[in-house]
Amino acid sequence: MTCPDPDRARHGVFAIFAAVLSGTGTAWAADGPLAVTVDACTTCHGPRGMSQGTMPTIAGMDSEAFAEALLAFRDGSRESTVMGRLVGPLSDEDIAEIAAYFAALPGADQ
Amino acid sequence: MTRTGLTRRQALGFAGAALTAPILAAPARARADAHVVVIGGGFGGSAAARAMRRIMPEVAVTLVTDAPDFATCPFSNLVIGGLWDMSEIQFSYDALHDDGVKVRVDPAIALDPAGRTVTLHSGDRLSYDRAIVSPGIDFRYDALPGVGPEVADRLPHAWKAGAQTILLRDQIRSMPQGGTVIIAPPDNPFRCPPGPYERASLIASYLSRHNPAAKIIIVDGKDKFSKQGLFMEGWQALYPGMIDFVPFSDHGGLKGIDADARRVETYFGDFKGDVINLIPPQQAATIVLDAGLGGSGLWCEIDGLTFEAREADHVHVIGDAAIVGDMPKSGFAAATQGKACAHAVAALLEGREPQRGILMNTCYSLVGPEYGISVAGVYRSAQDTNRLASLPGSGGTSAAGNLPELRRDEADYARGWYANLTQELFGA
Repeated sequence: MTCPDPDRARHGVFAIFAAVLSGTGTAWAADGPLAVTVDACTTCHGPRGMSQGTMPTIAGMDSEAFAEALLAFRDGSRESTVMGRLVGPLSDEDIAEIAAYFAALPGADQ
Repeated sequence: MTRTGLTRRQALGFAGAALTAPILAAPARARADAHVVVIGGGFGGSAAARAMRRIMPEVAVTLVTDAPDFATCPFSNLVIGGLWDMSEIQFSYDALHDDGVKVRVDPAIALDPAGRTVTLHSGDRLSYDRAIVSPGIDFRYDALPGVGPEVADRLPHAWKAGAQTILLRDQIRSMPQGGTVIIAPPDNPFRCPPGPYERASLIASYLSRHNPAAKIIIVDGKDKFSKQGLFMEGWQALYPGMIDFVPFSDHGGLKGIDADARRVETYFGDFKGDVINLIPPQQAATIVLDAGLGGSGLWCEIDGLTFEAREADHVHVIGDAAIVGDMPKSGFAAATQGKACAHAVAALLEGREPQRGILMNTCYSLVGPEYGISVAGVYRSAQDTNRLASLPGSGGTSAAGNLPELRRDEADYARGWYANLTQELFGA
């Protein structure tokens, strides 16, 4: 599921991105397992990914930066309070999809 | 499905897997006359009701609750510790009403799975296609020696937030200098496993400011507790000598409770307090057990993919009343389950397969106003049994050790967690 080599993992995720983002500008709705998973994210990060508190707003976040962050939490290269304990089971595909989903939501400046 | 969607699917190379879809995809047709009744206006019920309307706006959703406002158990320990006002943990159902949820403030007194009806206190009877049941816990005073529910007027449980929270707070405020607070938590399973220890912490925070010679004794119904190492490290750092934990094996269990003398009697000795926070053993709310959903036990067994009760069709049970695989009995877990359950109910109403997504739990506890710790977990229902199991390589508690920056950060995150969680449940 998870890729042991971080560089290879990043490459894999961005290859998936290239495909996911080929239809730039389209708003995305989640269905399938992703719909359930992104609803777990918003319990902490706020409804529709818009945070009222210390957790960052993830709506409208650049999808590559988003995926980079999750990959770094997953391989331990980025320190965190809690994210490192949550992202372990996410596959490269999960990360690419979650990133694409939140990137397409209207963010704080929209 | 639009052509763009198909192209993306092919490019992604996930043949047959419905992973993502553009928003323009034709929505599946729901039964336009379907009625979902949600019992309980707490974390599970409110999350489920709002998610149901978001996912299937055409479906009628009625939420049945006991009171016009809801006081959250999470962060009620800040009220008890004098750090927050009661008004900061109280919420109305106005936002649910605005979402199109019909809110009935009329307690549900009976659930009839065979007839698919819910009977309310007023005598009204609601028919449902699917019921989402999230009524929380009831107390088992029969499991305590020599006391009944009325003892809570003098020895508050404060384990359902509201008047009980204020009663305990005020008893602590009026305690004599150098007095003793006894906290008596039950054995597992019970609502909010770290709750009694956060409570001890924030009472200690209050006492260290206003009554520094006072003591807290935890006379526990078990030998070990959630985040124990982290709590004890924090107590040593912030309130040295103030909190005494007496595990079950050191007292042998409760033998008697003398409310007049404010005394807890155990098999290995008595504990005299000025304030006694008696948290009784618990079970699923009576309405769940009366409906036969507990089988021969005290909690409801469910399917971890759909949350449907093992003992009844079309009844989905979430939150503290249910045994949800490895997930703990927490408000956050109930909210996550409420949303996942709404997705499953929507799928069943539309004749689709429910989806096996990921659920999470994150529980922060404040050891002090600027000292936070957490426990987290990630769960997915197993392919073969549908049991919601912890996933390998995830979960666990905050790092141990002298880490003041981490504790401060986690206290900040605790407040952000509460703000976002309550915004999702009750915010506009």
